[in-house]
Amino acid sequence: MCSHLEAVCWREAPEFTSRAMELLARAKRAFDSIPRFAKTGLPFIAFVIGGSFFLKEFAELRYEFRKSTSLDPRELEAAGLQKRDPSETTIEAVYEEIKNLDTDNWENIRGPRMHEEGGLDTLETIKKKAAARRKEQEEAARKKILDA
Amino acid sequence: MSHWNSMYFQNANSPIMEQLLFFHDHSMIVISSIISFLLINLLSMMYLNSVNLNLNENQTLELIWTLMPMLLLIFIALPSLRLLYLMEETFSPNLTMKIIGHQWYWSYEYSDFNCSFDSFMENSKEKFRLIETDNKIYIPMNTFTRLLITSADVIHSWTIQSMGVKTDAIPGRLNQINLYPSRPGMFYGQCSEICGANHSFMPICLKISNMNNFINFIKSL
Repeated sequence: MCSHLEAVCWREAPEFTSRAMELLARAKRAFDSIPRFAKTGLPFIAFVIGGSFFLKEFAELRYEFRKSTSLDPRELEAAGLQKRDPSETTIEAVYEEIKNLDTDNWENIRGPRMHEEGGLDTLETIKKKAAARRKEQEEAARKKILDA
Repeated sequence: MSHWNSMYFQNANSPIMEQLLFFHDHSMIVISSIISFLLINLLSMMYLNSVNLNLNENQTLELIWTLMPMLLLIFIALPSLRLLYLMEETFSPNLTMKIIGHQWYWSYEYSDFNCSFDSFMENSKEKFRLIETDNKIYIPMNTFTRLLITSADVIHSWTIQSMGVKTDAIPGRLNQINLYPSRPGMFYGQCSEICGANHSFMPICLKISNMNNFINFIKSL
């Protein structure tokens, strides 16, 4: 009842199997001869490095759509504002500005306090002093520019 | 701002303050667990008569009561240290503001734009008492801002509670702190270092708004 094709299969099968097994054994031997580092270490390194590139695609999103805003120089320019160079506003640069501040000569205003009688006069006195101080500072700055 | 009868912190308005609130809650959970455990033990010892007179040594018990406090302290100390260093961290600020404390007002300078003003307490019955100022500071929302704080006379302290900021203004010294406001609104603070007779009358008024409003504000100075 067997067809011709089936008969051929039955005849050829043992030879085919032994050939296939030999091929597999050769492949296994070749695989065994590869150093262990190349078999496990290299794929691991490739996975870690490749993984970071893969994750980059997703990590980028949080920078692309981040919430924090920044002062856009073009926007400032359009508004007619000039932003100082960031190196001029570091803590070191600002310290250079404030280190000459006269902190030893200040007058202690003793009161009366705001809620006490005449307290509002104290506020006015403070405001006047502040205005005088500001004027002094502006004059000093102007003088500095003229000297330069 | 803090309200009448408020029992907890003000709502957080910066990531740092959020973290501070989490840390507070975390510590409170640990502390309440310890107190409950001790109370239960204390009461059970008072009311129960089952005292083991023959208990002379127990190595396992000693190991447990040595390790437990150590672990508890680690659980509190580690998040605390993390937060402490996070608060000091500077993340490439976009805006710098110089703040000078005076007896009894604050001077502000937007160092990036060379403009400055003084801020006095507003003494009006229509406004919030003791926390409104005549000149308010503007800072754009979601922007890293660096505050450089110093004083011209005595020690003051610049504070905005809802942002987790409290920095001493010390004459001859410049302190740095970062601000990252995460929502718009008006935020209030007061000088937090006794600085003289009118210490209670030098409030801080901070307006957080979007970038356009900030630019318009700077233009108006």
